[in-house]
Amino acid sequence: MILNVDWESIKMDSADVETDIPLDTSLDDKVIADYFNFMFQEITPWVNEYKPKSVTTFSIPSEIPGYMNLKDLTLEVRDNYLAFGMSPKFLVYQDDHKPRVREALS
Amino acid sequence: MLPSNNIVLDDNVAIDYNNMHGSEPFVRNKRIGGYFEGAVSGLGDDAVTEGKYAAKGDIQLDDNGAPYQFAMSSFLINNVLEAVLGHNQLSKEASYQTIVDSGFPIDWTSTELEGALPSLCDNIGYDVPLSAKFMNRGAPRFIFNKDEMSIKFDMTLEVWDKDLSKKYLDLNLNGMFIKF
Repeated sequence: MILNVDWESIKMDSADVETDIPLDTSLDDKVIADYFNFMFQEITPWVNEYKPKSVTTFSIPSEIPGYMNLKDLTLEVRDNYLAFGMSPKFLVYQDDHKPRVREALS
Repeated sequence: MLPSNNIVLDDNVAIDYNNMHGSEPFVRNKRIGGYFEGAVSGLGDDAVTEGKYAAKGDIQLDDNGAPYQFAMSSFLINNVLEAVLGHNQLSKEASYQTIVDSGFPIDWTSTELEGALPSLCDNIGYDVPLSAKFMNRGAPRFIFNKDEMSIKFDMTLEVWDKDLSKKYLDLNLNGMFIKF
């Protein structure tokens, strides 16, 4: 299963650089922050369109091998908490290693 | 879900769930339910205890929702993240070719970054393709409520040559704030 998350906006407070390269000594950390904050305005539509993995797209396992299959996974932001819901199938293996499936409450 | 990592958790850290005071487990509408209060122990002074990042949830189970339900407040999420990432780093590489193939809207070269880093081109040349590594500094802080879903974090962006064989510089990006 794939979880997609859209970004509304991104910004940062400040930035600084560490380097052994002899960069301009007048380097202003505010210039760096301003540059990236401007860049973020272009990045936001891109992340929502391209959905890079581990940035706005996350793979969620649909199976815990040998134990459980997950279906109908839901994720909601409610009043002041994050709610997960799912309908699991518990897999019960016997000696012949053929799974005996038990449905969760439904 | 996480990039490859070598996260090590402190042996003293544990997640605890205790039955909420005044709330006993119940059977209702063909479901077993219960309210438990989660906490992360063993964090010491690193524990997230105050402010909007430690808001506890006024959690309500939905009797007609999914058969299995689990809910987490900002308080619990942020303390779990503190335990996992507070003193560990996740790192993710993005080679120049990966960046180009992704259609990234910024030309990730020395000439483009010169806008933020004057004299970069004087040192490494013009139009030099660059690669990057991203890593967290400390744990992120989430906010979840009906009005806002956001994350705030500090990160380091390492700027490397195209082949990821030579690092040019570290950019520390502080107070990154993403609103979802």
